Amino acid sequence: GYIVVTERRLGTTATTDMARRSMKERYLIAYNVIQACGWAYVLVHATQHAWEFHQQPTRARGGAQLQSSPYDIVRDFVVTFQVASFAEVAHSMLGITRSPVGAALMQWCGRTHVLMCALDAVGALHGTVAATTLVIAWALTEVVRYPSYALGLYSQCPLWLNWLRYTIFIPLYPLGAGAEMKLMYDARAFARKANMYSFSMPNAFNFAFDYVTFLNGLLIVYPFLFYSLYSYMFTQRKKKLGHVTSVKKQQ
Amino acid sequence: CDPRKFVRIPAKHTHGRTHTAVFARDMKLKVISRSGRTVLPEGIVLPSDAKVSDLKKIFHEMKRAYYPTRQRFTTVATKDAPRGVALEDAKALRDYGLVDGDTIVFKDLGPQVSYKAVFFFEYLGPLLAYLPFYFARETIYGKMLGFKDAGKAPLEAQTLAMYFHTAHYVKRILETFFVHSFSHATMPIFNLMRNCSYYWTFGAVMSYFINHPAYTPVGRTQMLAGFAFSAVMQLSNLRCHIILANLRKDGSKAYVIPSGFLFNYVTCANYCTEIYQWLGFNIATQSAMGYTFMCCGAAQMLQWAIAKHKRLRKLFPGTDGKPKFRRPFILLPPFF
Repeated sequence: GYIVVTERRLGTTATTDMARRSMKERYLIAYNVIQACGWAYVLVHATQHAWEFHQQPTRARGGAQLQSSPYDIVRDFVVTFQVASFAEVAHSMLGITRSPVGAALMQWCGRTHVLMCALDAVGALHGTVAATTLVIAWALTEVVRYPSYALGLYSQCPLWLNWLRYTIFIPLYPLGAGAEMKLMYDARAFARKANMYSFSMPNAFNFAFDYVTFLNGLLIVYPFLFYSLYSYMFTQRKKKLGHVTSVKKQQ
Repeated sequence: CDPRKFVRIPAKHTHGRTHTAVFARDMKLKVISRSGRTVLPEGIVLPSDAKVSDLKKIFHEMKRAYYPTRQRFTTVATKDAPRGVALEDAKALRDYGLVDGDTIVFKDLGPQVSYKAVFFFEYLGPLLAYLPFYFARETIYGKMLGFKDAGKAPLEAQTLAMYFHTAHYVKRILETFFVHSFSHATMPIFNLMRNCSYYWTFGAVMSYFINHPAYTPVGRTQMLAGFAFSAVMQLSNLRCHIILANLRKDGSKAYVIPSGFLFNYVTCANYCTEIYQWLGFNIATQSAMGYTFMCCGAAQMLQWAIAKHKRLRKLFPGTDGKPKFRRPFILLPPFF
């Protein structure tokens, strides 16, 4: 930052009276609260079933499922709330929020692709440890992120929640990214057999798409994308949980 | 730094100020980084009428790692200028009100690479990447990828596409060295990586599909019309670039309204002809990746065109003796 640092408040308006807020603020608070509730449901139900489900002997799981996998139980919620989070891309496009459009779009596309194409479309992967890990890691992250946005808009994000937000990513990002890569890796065999999402030439637009090649390309690129996102979060962490506040404020 | 301009004051008249400038017309500036850290503990001593470019030269001598194009200086942040005022090379330090004892803020722009070098590599890549798919089609499509009849002769459309694509990038490289005059000498090295990935990838991918053994050409009339239109647009684009290169005389940095030829009707006639040039190519070759490449380029040029149009409108409002800048189109007649 610069020498003259204008102290950034985590909240926006002084009033906590909802009636006196702008429509935009009311809408954003509502959006964040709804998302928080959705992901809270996912977290509770997925974790409830995760332990029992993955304790089942493999023999029983190979044939008829003794019970639905954690992913199957929360699937409708995860799909709904993840796809609906496109709203965040729309918000930045319309200027309602200040996040960069490109980053938001890439995040949404990455997550939604893994969810819908690599996981949801491939039934055999629903019961895997990777699927359960994915769902729980995402839910844990969102259940901290959305309330911190909502509270930040409403009044002030509490310091402990802010700390959580900039700390739990440390284990959760690698877990989530690892689960995503494992799912894409395993999905390839099924995609090859069923020829998923692929088409070949000749055709009028001289274009061909092989989903397995696409997945291989993604798997190569993922570690680099993950690294830049992860290191970005660390610099954000240093900024937000800053330990040089006294020096800055004096100047 | 002409030594004859300086007057040396004998030591006994310095009144014990051994750490300030010895020469009467010198000034000493403190240099800090944006986070407040001191960059030069001993400060930097300059003649009081020094230009910013002199500052950068002397700074480079003191810190060899930071060559002048890598340095960026601003004044200290104030309420009116929360990020400080950027110091421009051609101006004198005192034009910014800087006097002895003042502080300036230094930022390292990172490793820089010259614009010409970037343009050369980013255009050489697609030029070369396109060719193997045309000339070594049997090896690539046949031996490596296992397609049937990979060795059959190229179609007329594929041959013309190869010539057009190659000619386009040869033109761009020649323009880089013989036509364009750049207002910035360098750009950050990250841009080199990013730009090269963009151009090289698209060049290779477009070529892969157009030279594919299962490529489906369009009707011959459409193909010839597309290439003809593309050729006309390429030549117009060259003329636009020559007009732009001649806008500023003798290294002046002033903005001049581009005029003549298509610039009378379109603010960014150069981008306009470039986009239509690719449109002609795509009408002739009809590939999804070709159209995608055109749209990506158009999206970027749209952003630049809007910014340029706004800037020219602000600089030439028609008052204070300045001409009024007005054009019927910004980027793509007859649409926008």
